[in-house]
Amino acid sequence: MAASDIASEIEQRVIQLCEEFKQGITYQIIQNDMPELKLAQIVEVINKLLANCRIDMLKKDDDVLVFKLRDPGSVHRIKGAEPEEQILFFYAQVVYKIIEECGTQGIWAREIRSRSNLHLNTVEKVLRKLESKKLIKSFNSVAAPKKKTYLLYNLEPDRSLTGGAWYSDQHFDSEFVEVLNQQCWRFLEQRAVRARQVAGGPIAVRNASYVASKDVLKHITELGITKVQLSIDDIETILETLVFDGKAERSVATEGSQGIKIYRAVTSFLPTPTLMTIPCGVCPLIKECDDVGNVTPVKCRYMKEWLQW
Amino acid sequence: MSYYLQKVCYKILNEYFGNIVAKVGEVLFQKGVNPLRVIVTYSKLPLSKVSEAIAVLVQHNLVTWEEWRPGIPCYTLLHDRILLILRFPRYVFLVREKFGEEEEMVVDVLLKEGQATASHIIITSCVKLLEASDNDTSASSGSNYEQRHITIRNHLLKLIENEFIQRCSSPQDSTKPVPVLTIKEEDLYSLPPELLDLKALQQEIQHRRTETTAPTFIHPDANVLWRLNYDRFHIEFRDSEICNSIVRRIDPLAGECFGAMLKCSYKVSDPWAPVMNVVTAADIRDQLKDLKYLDQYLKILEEQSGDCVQRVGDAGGGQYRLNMSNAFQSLTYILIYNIVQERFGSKAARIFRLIHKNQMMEQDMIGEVSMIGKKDANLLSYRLLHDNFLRIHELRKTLTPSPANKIIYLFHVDMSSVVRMVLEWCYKGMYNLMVQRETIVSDNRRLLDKRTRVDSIVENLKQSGGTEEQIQEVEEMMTPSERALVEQVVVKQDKLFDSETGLDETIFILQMYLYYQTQKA
Repeated sequence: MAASDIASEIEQRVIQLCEEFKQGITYQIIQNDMPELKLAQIVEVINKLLANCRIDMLKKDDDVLVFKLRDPGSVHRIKGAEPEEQILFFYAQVVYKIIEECGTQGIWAREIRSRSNLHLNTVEKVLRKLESKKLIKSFNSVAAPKKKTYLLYNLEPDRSLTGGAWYSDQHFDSEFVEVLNQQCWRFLEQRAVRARQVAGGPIAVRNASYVASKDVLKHITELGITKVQLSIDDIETILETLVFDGKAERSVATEGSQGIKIYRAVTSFLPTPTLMTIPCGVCPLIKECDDVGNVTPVKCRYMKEWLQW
Repeated sequence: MSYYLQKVCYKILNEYFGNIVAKVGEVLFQKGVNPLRVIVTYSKLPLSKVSEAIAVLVQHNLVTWEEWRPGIPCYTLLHDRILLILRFPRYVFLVREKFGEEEEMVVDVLLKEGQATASHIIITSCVKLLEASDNDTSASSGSNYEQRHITIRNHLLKLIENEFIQRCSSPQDSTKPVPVLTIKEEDLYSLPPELLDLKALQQEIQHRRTETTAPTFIHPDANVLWRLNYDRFHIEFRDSEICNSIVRRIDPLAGECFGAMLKCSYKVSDPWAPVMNVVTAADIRDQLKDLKYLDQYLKILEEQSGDCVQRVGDAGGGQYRLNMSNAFQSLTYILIYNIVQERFGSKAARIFRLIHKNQMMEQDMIGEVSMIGKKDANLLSYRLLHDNFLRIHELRKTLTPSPANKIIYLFHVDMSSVVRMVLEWCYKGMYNLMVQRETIVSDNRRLLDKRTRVDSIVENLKQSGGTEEQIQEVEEMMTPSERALVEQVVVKQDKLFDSETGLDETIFILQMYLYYQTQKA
């Protein structure tokens, strides 16, 4: 009897055993089933099965190795594999599993390497393969634009990676923010002007000038300046910038059982200070200006232009 | 005390009192408290000139003295008072708004003299007002001509009563070589009637108007001098500053309401206290009987006056107190925000506010919260740092630099140093404006002189009844282009002068802030 025949027989038996014990078989079970086999023979067979992706090797809590029949579905995921690249597919599965675990957060190639203990080149090769098969996709996070992160093809990256509504193509869309900022302010201002006509005392006027953030959102959506669907949180971020601009004021009100944020346009306490209306206020050379030298108040060009004006 | 403050002081003294006084002032500023001889050495001026200059400064309340060594006084320059000279037009304007033309004249005379006796003030203002009404050909003052000095006296009394004018302290013991000036509290704001000899006043006014010789009348108040009480004016400025801001923020009625609160507060507290004593809503209602929504206004003020109006209890329909210190704190913050906005743009102002409100902020956080692109946010915050509006705080876990523990840089704002920097900046701006104004005048001196000459000739001709032709002829001495140039120079000068006054307002707010900060500490 040739050695290969024995090997294939053992193989069949092991697969049979695996089918019997769905929760997996241990080395001990194989040994009990076929007490005549030597350890080396079993190892050889198991290794072959592993390489052919017929079984999985898992480790239990008590460090006992368990062999399980491979789920035919997962074999299917990387169908079309060339036989000589079997090893690579095994790696691909490991990598795929790691990426799957990370969900919408995505994972960096380097991170995959350290978790899978594979060589970086191998990982990259595998990733390229998976990407071309549209099983995973790569993505550049806004926080670190040069770091390529990978996630499953059918998942959308997390908000923290895309930067939400404010990013287009990984770039902060400051123009868009600026337009929204302007529009929000105009809306609040209109309300404030209309509120001044309200009769019934100053408190009524003040209350009428307050606008809830969801109303602002409604207004902005109706304006149709954005194709992106904005959330209440988004619009509150914008309104918050108005507060930091000193153009608006925030307060809270209760609606039903929960508190909502309300905003109103306010005018500044002071007009532009005179210091800023004279050339010296905005002069870029103010630190160099003195009685002698090239920059003096007498020779000052800005001053002359300002006086001519 | 700063380099530019000194320069501004020099310019002001030079403009108002000439270069000798300015030189002496500069020495006093630079070298501090010194006796006469030392000032002479430093200034390299003759003794007589220096002592005259100091007399002028003392007369205008700009210098005080104390005993340095037995029998030798040393002099101190009050540089804050020198800056107040720039505020004179505002003082005069305030009095004119609040009282009227006669009071304006009284304050004007007093500002020119520094210190003066009551009878001198009355006589000079009377003569000036009469001259002014003489020039107005429709002189309706003929009827009350005799009574003029009495009305002026009444106006003066009103000013004294309102504490806009106070009595100067005087030496009590004339035997001491270095006189010590003191005054009793109750004498400060009272003008006893026996100090004025009304008859002599009237005679002197008559005399001055008809004769050209120097009058020799003796008035009983030759030793009682009066001067302006600057602090009283500053209270008015301060209140109007806060009041205007409230009007801007809320509406005029709220401003009125605040004015009433102030009035009530002054009855029970010291006007310069950082936090005034408590007033009740009932007191305020007494002041504003016909304001419909007083309670609502009080509530609004409590919320929106920048923490100036604070509610402290419910007794008497609500107890309120005014916190001036907070009011100026918020005004100053707004002022600084405005300055940042004008100089660095509104995005930088957003970052500045953000950091100021959050006290300490990390670089990455700034971009996120302010909704400014990370690159821009970094650029702007470092520009603010470069111009000393922001400060950086380094936070490291260990002293050895290693990539493992990143050093955290936190931005923060040190308001009081920013305020001092802006104040210095204001002085610099003020100095530059004054230099510019001076240059314009000296560049066009010949032209301006010519115009003055032509104007005075025309005036003389009109007085002596010259014909239209003659007047025409003289006026043609100025060519149209010269006229246009003069116009231009005058416009420029006015612009510079307006800016100086405006700048002074900014300085006022900043000084008030610093004053209240020191009170707090």
